[in-house]
Amino acid sequence: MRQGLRILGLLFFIVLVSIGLLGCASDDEPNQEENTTEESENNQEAASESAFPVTITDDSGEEVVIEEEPERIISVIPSATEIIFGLDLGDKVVGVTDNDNYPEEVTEIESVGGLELNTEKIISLEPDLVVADVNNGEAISQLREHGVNVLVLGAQSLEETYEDIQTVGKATGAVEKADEVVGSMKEDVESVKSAVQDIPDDERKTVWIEVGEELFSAGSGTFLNELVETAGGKNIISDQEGWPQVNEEEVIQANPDVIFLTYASYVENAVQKVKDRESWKDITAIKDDQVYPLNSDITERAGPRITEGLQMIAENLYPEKFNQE
Amino acid sequence: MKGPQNYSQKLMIWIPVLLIVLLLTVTISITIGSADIDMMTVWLVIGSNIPFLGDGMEQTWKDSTETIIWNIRMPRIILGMLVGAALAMAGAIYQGVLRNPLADPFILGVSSGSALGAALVLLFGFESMVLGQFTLPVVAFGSGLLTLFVVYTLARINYRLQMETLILAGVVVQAFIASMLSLILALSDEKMQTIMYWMMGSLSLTDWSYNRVIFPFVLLTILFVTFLTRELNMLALGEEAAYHSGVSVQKVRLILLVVASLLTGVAVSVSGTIGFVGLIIPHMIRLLFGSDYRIILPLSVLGGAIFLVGADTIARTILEPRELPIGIITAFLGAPFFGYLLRKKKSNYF
Repeated sequence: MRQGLRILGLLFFIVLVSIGLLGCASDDEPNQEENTTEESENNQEAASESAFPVTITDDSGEEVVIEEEPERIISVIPSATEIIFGLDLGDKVVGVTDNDNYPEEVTEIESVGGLELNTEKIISLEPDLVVADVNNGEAISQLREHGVNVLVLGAQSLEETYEDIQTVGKATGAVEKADEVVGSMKEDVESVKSAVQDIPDDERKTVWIEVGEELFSAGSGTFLNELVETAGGKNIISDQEGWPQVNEEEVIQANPDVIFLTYASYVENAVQKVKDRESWKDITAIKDDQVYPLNSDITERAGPRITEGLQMIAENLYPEKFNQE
Repeated sequence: MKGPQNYSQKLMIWIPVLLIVLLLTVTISITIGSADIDMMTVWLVIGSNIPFLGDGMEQTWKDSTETIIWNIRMPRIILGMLVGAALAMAGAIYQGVLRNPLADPFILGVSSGSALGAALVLLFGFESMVLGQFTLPVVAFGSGLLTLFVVYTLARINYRLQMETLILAGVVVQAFIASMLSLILALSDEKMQTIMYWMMGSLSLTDWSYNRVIFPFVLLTILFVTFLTRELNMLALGEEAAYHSGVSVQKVRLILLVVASLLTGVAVSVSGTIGFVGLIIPHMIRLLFGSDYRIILPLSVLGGAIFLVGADTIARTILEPRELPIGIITAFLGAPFFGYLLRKKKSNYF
């Protein structure tokens, strides 16, 4: 049993470390990717709209060849599901995971597993495209060995999310719609940026992002950090990478103006619990009642709704800048 | 077994020595931390919180500094001392009673039971109106004792308790509980991290309230057990020897096991399962000072307190502002030592 605990602990660390590594890795990957995306984009626009076959280099580094427009799509990651539905291709989706909850109709679609994918189920649904995430790991190569066409996404930033949306658009023959979705996302981002750009540096609010009650937080390289900084906030632990567990002293000393909780959807009274912490009572965010729950579905999923998450964060940070509009 | 003078002489020397080491460790621990607060301010804050001494003092530091020193670092260090002392003492008792060098505070399933109780509380987010923040510790404590009861009942054959049977029963019950824990983890989705974190053990996010509850308990238990050290010596020699020297073997053994399990339950309920302390501290003391439990028990209490406060200080400062799980530090320091013990075992000191 104690050995079991240790193994579980070890697994936990491997997960944490690999999340951290992903965070680091994403720094240098996008450039290379950007080039290939743009190149093939140009190629395709030069040709006609639905020019299949298309060849796409996906986020796993694999060249994926899609012979004709996919009619049966399986999404094994909620962010991909949101992208596909965002491109109005929802009626082509024949399989999703247990974790999918948006849009509402996905709950009607057959499930192919949760965190662990059911490969048999996926193959039996005869998909002509499976959209996965780099975190699906082993399952991806297993599916590919069985001749299933797998497109792997792995966005870790807004910029990469745009690229992933365009990649999916290309793979499904919805390039125009993808451009439209990305365009409106960029507009959202611009409107937030322009609303907060005049705030002088010393008036920008400091933010503590709490990802777990044990004071896990989101450092640089994470979506949450990018969203908070884009919305004009200052993450108090942006000097750390990935998902660090932070010492309580650090938070109290940094004295954040605003606190965001990402786990409020599954922990009861999360906001109240933070406010009740005895040693936190002098923190500005607690005194000014600035503790907000964040819907992690729209702040952590690399899909079209991520900019909604950005707007929500910005409105919580600077309500006065947004209520006037 | 040496004469009484010898053992009391040793204690007269070593208890003060270890007390000084403990004081030094605490002093260093309170002074360093993630927040940048200079040593002078740290001691002014502490001084101002001591009754009478601090009455006339004026506060020249920020409120947040006061909070960090007095409401975060201090209770955490005291909790570390209490948990370390409790685990080391429980380990020493188990090793003596079970006559097994691998025995540690978790061997009879108390920690597994506690972990299961805690995991269920965390999974369902259950919080009792009466108990409030103490819901989790109380449930963990209760389920730990329940597990001990099951193990004990399983192992008792014809009203007699065989130590080998007891250890086996502990292993079997732990295996069963581990499977249930794995099931809970598999089904827990986003709560997984919280449950895992609890099982790894930690002294962070504590406050004075936990200390107020467990301090009297740990203190009383330590005092109580010092009256039973002679019997523990006899038991460690073997059942026969104990019986012939007039020890009521079954009764004393049961009392000691229950006391050790209560100590473990209390420690685990407030800090999760912190490994290695209960295993290596008694060994270290035995190696250094001989196998007389009249010496091992009091020195293990101090050694456990020093070791855990030291390990926690490293855990919270080495990668600051990050925290490391304390289990990493205790095992990182403890495992090499255990290797050393294995080499040393040639001399057959146990």
